[in-house]
Amino acid sequence: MPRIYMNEWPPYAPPNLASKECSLIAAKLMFNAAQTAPVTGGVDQVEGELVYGMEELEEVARKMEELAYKLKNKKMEDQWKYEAVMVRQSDVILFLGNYRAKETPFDLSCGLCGGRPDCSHVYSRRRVAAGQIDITDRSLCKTAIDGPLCGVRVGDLGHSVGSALWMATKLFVDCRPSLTMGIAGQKLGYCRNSAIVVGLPISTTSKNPYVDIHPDYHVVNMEKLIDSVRKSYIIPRQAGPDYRLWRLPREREEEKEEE
Amino acid sequence: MIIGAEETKKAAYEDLVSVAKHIVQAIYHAPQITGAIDIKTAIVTGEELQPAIDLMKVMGEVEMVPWMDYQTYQMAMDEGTPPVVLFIGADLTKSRNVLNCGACGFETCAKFNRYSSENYGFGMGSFGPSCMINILDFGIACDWACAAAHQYNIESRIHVSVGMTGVLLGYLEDVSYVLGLSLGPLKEFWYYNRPVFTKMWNKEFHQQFWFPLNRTLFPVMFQSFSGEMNAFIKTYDKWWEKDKQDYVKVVEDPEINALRAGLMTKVMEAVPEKRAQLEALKEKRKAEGAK
Repeated sequence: MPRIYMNEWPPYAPPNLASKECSLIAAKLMFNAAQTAPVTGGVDQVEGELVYGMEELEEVARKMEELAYKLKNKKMEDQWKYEAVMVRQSDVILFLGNYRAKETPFDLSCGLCGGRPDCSHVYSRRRVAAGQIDITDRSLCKTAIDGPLCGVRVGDLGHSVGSALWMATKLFVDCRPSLTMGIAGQKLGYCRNSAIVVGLPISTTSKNPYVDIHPDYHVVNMEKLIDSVRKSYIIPRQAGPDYRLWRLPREREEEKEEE
Repeated sequence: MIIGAEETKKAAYEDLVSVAKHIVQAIYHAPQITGAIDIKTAIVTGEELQPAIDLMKVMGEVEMVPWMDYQTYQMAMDEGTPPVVLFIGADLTKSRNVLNCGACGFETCAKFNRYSSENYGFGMGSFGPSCMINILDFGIACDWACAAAHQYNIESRIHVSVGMTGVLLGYLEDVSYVLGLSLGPLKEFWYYNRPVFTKMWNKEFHQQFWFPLNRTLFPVMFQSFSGEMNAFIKTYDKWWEKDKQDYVKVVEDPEINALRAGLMTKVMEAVPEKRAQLEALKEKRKAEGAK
């Protein structure tokens, strides 16, 4: 049996990768939990996709930063950027989407979406042919999420997300539900059959990266601080002497010399 | 001290209320995407549950799922072990976040909120229109309730049907949508492999109710050769021995239309009486408490 050394620092070094692989297993188990969540009528409607690896996560983070400005929503801009940092600090993201919310509503006439005893709120705002929702023209979407959606299906996605989160707590991995990550992931083609996707970033570090977030987190965070030390310390050290010719006498050595 | 067989069962049953309280703790600890919804809960059991069951019966005269749930709850009541129902509700009709995500069908949360105020109404199970992200957060919380119940290894199931009574009869106030998580009775199965149906199921019921229902709901499953202009729909077992075959036809059915159209009127007509019953029970409890 080979020895497997694990350590969270430095990120993406072999000891950290060994730890990240465990997060990946946790994410897979979380998907299983999501799949078994209680959903209305027991109808299959959830799809999942995992994003693992530095490059892949960076792509999601950059998409979020792009959307932070592109959506022109000043009140949300910071949240998009802060959560992009969290993506970079994550081991893996589990995307969960509901592939029925847009195309095949529950048809219950429950009133959740429109407050009426029918499903007209959704159907009347969609292209419809033969009583079915026609999703082929995807250019119609002008918002981050292509609504309106079926409320029952969205609630069921909540149940699945809940079970995935519950499994995360059981496995002692840190995780939070994020809609910004979900939207970015969906735009990148993850869970491509779903109009609504939630991102569940997973991390196994000493400090939960998804809580205790201060203002301007996108420019002041652990990675930026470390980089700041890297760029700053380089300069003053150049004023040092030749270590081969001069060494700092230690306290006890000085005492001995005096004796 | 010895607590005997009957007493332990009784104590365990009575403690379902404590379990419900622990589940409430999990609900409030559930991670939300926005953290913006205000969840309300109520624990109901005993005779206070009867108005809810009666209302499900009214709905069950037309719809199958409330009928199933009515039968299931009533049997528990009749056996003297009513479930402990944890009502979980929230007002989902106002978007308190600023995401402008569009999941509701509107470009901005402000436009949705305006529309929601002007078009507030009740469907067949909920008030609306609702913010989709509120629904998502509410779903997470309800799932944590289910997961918490599961951790206690007790029979449980979350229902839209009993939840609807929670809104209409005022078990919870100032909420637009309620789900009901039923805990107990202390059996391996109560809401799955339902004993109430096991009891009523026999060959006659199967042939007169279940099989015709299947033929109505899934005619393609029982269809003969599809190259016919009028493919017949098989009857039970020896379908080839039948003199005259059955066919599927799409028709207008004024009787069913009237039943469906009148359902919510009937439900709403029953609400004041059931509400009054519930209020009377609340007063009775209050008086008992005062004594």
